[in-house]
Amino acid sequence: MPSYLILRLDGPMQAWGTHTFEDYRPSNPFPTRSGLLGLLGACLGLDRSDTPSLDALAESVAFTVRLDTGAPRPGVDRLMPKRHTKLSDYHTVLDARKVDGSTNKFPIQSHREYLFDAAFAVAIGSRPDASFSLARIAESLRQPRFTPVLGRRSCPLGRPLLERPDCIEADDAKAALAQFPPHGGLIYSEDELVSDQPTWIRDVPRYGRHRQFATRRLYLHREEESS
Amino acid sequence: MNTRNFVNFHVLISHSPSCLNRDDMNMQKTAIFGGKTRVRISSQSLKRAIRYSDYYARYFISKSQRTRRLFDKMADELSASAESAEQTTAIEKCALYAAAIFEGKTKIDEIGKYERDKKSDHIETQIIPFSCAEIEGIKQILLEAAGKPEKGRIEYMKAEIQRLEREQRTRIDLDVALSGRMANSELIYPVDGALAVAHAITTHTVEPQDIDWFTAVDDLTLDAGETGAGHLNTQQFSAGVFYRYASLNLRQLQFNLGLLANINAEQTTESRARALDIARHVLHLLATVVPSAKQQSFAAHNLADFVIVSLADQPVSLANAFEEPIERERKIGGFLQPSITALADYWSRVNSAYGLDEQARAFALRGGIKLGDQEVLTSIADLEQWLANDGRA
Repeated sequence: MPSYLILRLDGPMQAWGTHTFEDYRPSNPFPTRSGLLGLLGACLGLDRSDTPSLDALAESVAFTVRLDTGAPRPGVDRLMPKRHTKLSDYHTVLDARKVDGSTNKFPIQSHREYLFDAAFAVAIGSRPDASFSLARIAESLRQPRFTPVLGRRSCPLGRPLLERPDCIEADDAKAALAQFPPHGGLIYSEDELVSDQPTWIRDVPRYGRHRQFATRRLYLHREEESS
Repeated sequence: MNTRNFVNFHVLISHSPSCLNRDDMNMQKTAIFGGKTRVRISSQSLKRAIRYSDYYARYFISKSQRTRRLFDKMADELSASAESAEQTTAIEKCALYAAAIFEGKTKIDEIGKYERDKKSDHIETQIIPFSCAEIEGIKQILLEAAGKPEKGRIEYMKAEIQRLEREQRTRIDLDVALSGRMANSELIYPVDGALAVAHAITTHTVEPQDIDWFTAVDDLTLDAGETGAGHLNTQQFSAGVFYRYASLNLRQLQFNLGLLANINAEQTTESRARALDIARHVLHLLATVVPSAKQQSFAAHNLADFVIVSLADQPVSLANAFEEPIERERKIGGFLQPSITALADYWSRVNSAYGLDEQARAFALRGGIKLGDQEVLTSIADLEQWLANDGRA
């Protein structure tokens, strides 16, 4: 039976950057592949310039993301309801540096989107011939090297990333996620699932090139919520 | 040695009526948390207030200087203490060579021909940010070169400046080590900041926010007998207990300061002590610095009421202590006491539920509060000392 690591992405604010131009910084409604790889890479202590390792990490893992409508809290039986909202933050930058090194005398205005009140469960599966084992990834999540954040440095974790200290076994990623409440919810999977709506998303980082991304296929699957 | 890599800072600070952070519509910034509206002070606003504070300037003085006239100033300073006219001329020449090298000139004859700016009569370059250590290094090279014979002087300076710049790539100033530096050009070395600051939010709902209706009286028309106001406007404001969270990555800080060869390298007692000494100042800043916006009208210069500092393996915010918004204390009113209780209680719950084994200590203005089984400290200096001592009293 395949193994999975279960992560919870849960904090007051999250931001999963997507296609952007200049000072408009939108967030994807769910964690992108590039964002999740960055999160794992940070915990593992992989340097941005270490493209062979980053590529090896990317080839090691498959992600299945579930958008959760509730989140568990320590010592509380019921789930805390989560209804995520996307809002934009007005941000100005004073004394910004221009390309030639001089100081911009006008403030730069930027609009950055954040997901408030969002919670996601992520099942990380292992791809064949993975050079980064799930055990090694779990170890790094318990003691991260670079600071792990929920997509942007101002978005800290509201709880430890790992739901269970070690891997769990399940028939597939959907079944792995189903072991953890809330049940149901929208699932974004890289594996083909039954009765799904395939779509495309351009969020596969191409390391070593300047901010270039490739496309991947994503399967959407909604299960009825059961209480 | 303690190997916990992160310092978690949790700060509760009660602000009197104020409007410390606004958006482009002049409205207070807000957040939705636990489905309820909170007032928010953005991360960027807090960080800027901290970086421009007097305390920051006093303890983190090694801020870089951006200038066009570094070599002009250096030539003046060094000439002032020169012992002979020959030495003055040599210093002047070397300053010109240095300017040429920083302007990107590489050929010996080109460097030798570099002149003062025709209009200003100063030795000028483009605006370049120089770090303090860099400025010291250049000064030494200039002095050394001026003492050498004319022949071979340019070659010497070229080689020495190149060596210095190579060293500089691994040694950056403290403000950049903490806040980081974005780089989208390959010419600039990017740095991941060691400090991650969250947006501060109120522990309770603020709905609706208050609106101050104000007028400005026109003195001249008043004297002429008119009774109307010269200006009418409104300003949104509120009071609240804010939760601030920041984490400091001690390894990252040591790496940024050139004390670790890479992020996975072994820390030494000395390098960790250096990082913890910076951490204590970060704690002081987070507990005392308030953004300056609208402070001439509101003067909400409040200091922290309650602080938890922990040494931990993971950077985890305790914001969820306030996900269900804090209700006013029933008998005496106010949000502060229930917020303190909720935060201290939540820390204990998270620490045991996830087996985090954090080492933590708290500060409160008033004693009689416990964090875990330890009494709080009632002096922020004691908490700073605890942190600088790597979690030992």
